[in-house]
Amino acid sequence: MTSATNKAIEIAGLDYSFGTDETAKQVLFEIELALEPGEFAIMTGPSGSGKTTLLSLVGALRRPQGGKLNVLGHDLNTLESPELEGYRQQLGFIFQLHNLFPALTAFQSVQMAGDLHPEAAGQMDDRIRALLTQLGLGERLDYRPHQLSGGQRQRVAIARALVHRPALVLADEPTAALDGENTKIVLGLLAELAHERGTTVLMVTQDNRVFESADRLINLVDGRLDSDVRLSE
Amino acid sequence: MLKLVSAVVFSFRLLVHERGRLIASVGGVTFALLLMLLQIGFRNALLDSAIQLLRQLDADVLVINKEKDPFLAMNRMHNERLYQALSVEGVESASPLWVALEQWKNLEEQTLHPIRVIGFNPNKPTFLIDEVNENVDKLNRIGTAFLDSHSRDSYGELPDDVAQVNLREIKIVGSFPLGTDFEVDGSLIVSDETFFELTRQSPDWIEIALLRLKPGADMDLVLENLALILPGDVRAFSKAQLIDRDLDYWRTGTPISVILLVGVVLGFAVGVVICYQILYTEVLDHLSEFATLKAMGYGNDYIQIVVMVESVLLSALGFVPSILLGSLMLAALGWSSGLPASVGLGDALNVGLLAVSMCTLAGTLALRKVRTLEPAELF
Repeated sequence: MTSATNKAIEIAGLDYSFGTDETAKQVLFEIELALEPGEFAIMTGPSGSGKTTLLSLVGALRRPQGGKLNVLGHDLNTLESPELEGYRQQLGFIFQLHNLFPALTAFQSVQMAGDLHPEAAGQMDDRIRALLTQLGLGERLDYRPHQLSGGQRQRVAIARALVHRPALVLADEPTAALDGENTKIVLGLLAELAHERGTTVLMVTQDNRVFESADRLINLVDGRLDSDVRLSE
Repeated sequence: MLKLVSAVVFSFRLLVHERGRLIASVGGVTFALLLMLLQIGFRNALLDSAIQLLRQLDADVLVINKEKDPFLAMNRMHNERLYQALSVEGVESASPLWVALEQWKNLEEQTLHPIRVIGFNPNKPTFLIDEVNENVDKLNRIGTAFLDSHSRDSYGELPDDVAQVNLREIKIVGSFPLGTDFEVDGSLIVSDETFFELTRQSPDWIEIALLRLKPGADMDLVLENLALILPGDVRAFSKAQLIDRDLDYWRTGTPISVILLVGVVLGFAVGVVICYQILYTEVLDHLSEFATLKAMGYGNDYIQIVVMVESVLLSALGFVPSILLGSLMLAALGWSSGLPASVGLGDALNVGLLAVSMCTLAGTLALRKVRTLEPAELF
C-alpha cells in the first residue's frame, strides 16, 4: 500500500520485540524519526542498541509490531507480496557479510541486481562496468569470490546495492572490511547518490572515519533514540 | 520471459561451477535412472521373449488348446481340430506345429540343457523367418535341424555341426535368429518327420494349428464360426489377439513382471532421495545468498524457478549417460543371455519423463526451506 508523503522515511511510535509472551525481549521503544529524500544519515550506538533491527524494519525484512513505518510512500505495516518485492527493489541493501554466490563473477553478481530493473537493461552492462571500475575492480570483473580479497568482495556487494540507483540505501557496517582509500571511495559514491540523485542513505556504523560524510548523526541507545543531530547545521 | 531466461542462466551457473560436485550429482542421478532403465529393459526382455516365437509364425489365426495360457505353456490338442478349422468358410489353409521341450547335450561339458524343438511341415508356409524359408529344403533329410543363432553358449561348440538331443545325433544344417526366453536357452526347428523321430511324439497330437485366411475374408466372422464349429477344448485367436493376451498375462498375471515394476518404483524413490540430497545441500550451502536475493527484491517464485531449473538440468545431464550406459548393459545382457533385452525410443522417453518427475519432486521438497527463508535471518 502506498501513501502520500514527501518524507523518504517516516517512523512514528515504532516498537519491536523478539520472541513472544514472557520470553519476549523488546529491542525498540517508541522510535520517532523522519528522513528527507537525499539525506545521508548515519546511525550509531552501542552493540545491542537496536540499530540493525531498525535497519531491517526499514528494509521490510521484518514486519513492524507497533507504531507506524512509512518508507518511500509505502506503509510497511501492511505491505504484502508482490508489492513487498517491488518495494525491496527500490532499495540498495549493503550487509555486513557480502553473501556473494561463489558461482558468480563480480560482474554477474552485480548483474543480479541489474536484472531486477529491465527498464535500464540497455545501459546496465556499461553501468556495472563503470561502477566496479570506480570501486577499483575494473580488472577483476570476471573474478569469482574465492579469487577476491575480503575488501574486494565487500566492494562487489556495494556495487550490487548501488547499480540500480536505488531510492534508499540501507547499509550495515559497509566499510568495516575496507581500507582508508576504499572507504573514501565508497563514501564518495554514497554522498554522490544522496546529493546528486536524491537517494536517501541510512548507514549503521561504528566507524568514526565516516561521520564527516553524513548530514545527520542518529544515536540509538537501549532501543531508544538518544540523539538526532544535523551535522550540516 | 526475461526473468525466466535469467533464472535458467543463473541455475546453470550454480550447477556447473563446482565440477566435483557436479560430477557426483550427475553420477547419482545417472545411477537412479540406470536402475529404472535396467528394470524396464528386463521387463521388455520378459515380454518380448514370451511372444517372439508367436510373432514369427506365418498365420492369421491360431487354434490352440484352451488351457494353453500362456502361449509358451505346453498343451497339445488332437490334429482333428486342424481339419475342423479348415472346413470353416474363409480359411484357406491350416498347418500344424509341433513343439516339445527336450534335452540338449553339451558335448564339451557333458551337461544337459533344455531346448525347445519346433516341428513343422516343410511343404507348408509356417514361419516368417527368412533364414528358415530360404533354406527349408535342407530340412527334408531326416535328422537335420536349424539351430537358433541367439541360443546361449551353454549348448557348447559343435564339432562337425553334429549335436545330440535326447541322446540322438542331429545334424545342424542352418541357423535362424530367434532368442532365448525364461524357460529355455534356445530353439531348434526341424521337419515334422525329424520331430517325431526325435521326440517319439504321436503326429496326431499337435501344439498349434496355424490358419491362413482367404484374401478378403472377414476375420471376426471366421473367428465367430470357428468358435461355433470347434469343440470346447480349443480356442481360436487372431495373431494380434493372442499377442495381446500373452502380453497381458505376463504384465499382470505374473509376479516377475510386478517385481520388475516395483524395481522401477524403487529406482524412482532412490532417485528422489539422491536428487533431494543434492538440491537440499545446494540450497543449504547458499542459504544466506538466497536470503540476500530475497532482500534485494527477488520473490520466492524466482528462487523456486532457479531450483526447479537446476533439478530439470540435473535430470537432463543424468539422462544422457544413463541411456548410453543402460543400452550398453542391456546389449551385453542380450549378447550373453540371448534374451531380447533392450529399450526402445518410447522407453527412453518414459525414463526421461521419470527423470524430470524425479528431480522436480526432489526440487519441490528441497524448496520448502527456501519458501520459509526470511532475509531477516541475515542479521
